[in-house]
Amino acid sequence: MNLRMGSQLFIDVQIPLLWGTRAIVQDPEERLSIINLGGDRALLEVLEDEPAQGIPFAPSVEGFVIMDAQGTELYKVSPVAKSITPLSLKLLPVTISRDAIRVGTNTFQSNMVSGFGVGISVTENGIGLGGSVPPGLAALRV
Amino acid sequence: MRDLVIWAISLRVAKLHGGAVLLSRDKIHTGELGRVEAEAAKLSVVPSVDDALRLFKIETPDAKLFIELLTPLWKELPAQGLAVPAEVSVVDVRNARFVRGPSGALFALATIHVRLESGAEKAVVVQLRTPPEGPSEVHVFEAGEIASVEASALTSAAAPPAPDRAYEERLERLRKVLGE
Repeated sequence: MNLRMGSQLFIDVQIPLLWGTRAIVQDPEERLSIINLGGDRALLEVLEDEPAQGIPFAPSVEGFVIMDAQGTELYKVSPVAKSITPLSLKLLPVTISRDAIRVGTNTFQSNMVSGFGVGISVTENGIGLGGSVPPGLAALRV
Repeated sequence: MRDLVIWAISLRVAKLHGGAVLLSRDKIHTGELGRVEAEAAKLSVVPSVDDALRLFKIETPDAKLFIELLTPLWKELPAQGLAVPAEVSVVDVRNARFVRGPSGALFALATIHVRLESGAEKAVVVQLRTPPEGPSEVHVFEAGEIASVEASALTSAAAPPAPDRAYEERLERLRKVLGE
């Protein structure tokens, strides 16, 4: 896919921003969608700044919290700040503003990523720019 | 270092004003080591804005939504063995969770404290189903039953009705972004 997101230009990438096992996508109107690729099939968790259908959630002051089927709080989404904050997930928080993508204290600004499986990847161990899709992930289709 | 400065200032403010709230998830601020010191200074450490609102007994967004869904079904609670007065008397809402349907929440579950007709308070688990078509349902469980309720309810809600047109349009927009 080709996508401009947070001032980065992703050309011919499969997943522009991979946060753990979740693909984070921001559309041209700056709405966030989050798709979990950790299962057999892609599971849409957030669609255009709102919890997707069938996904447990709780509204919060800043937006909403996405939970798993057992009610464990996974992460918090702030549609105004365009930020995703981990709660039980061991990942750095991500904020996608017009001029940058911030991962923890790291800032990605005006990069072009072309021809990679993953544009920016955030794992429990670190951050990467341009890489292959980790094995075992479901295809990014909703 | 910055964590310790925040901690020291928080303690100072709490001592000065007879209490304070620190919003933090930092290990330094939430660990056992500082607990006694915080209690002595009447410094409350909470992990989120929502928890701070609960501390001040201000209605949180999740509590507000749950009460909105429960209100039309309130009169059915006595038939479920919960002797509540006619007017909605929810004192507290905890652990609320929702599963979205085509037009808002389809399923909701929370532990709530209600004031009974006798004046006593009781904690119960309340499960709500608000299907887009057909009557809404309310079920009351004893607080200890929460584990079994959660498992069964969330499994059945995982198969919501077919999405509506607006949702399909949003899905279609996302598919275009993904290049499908």
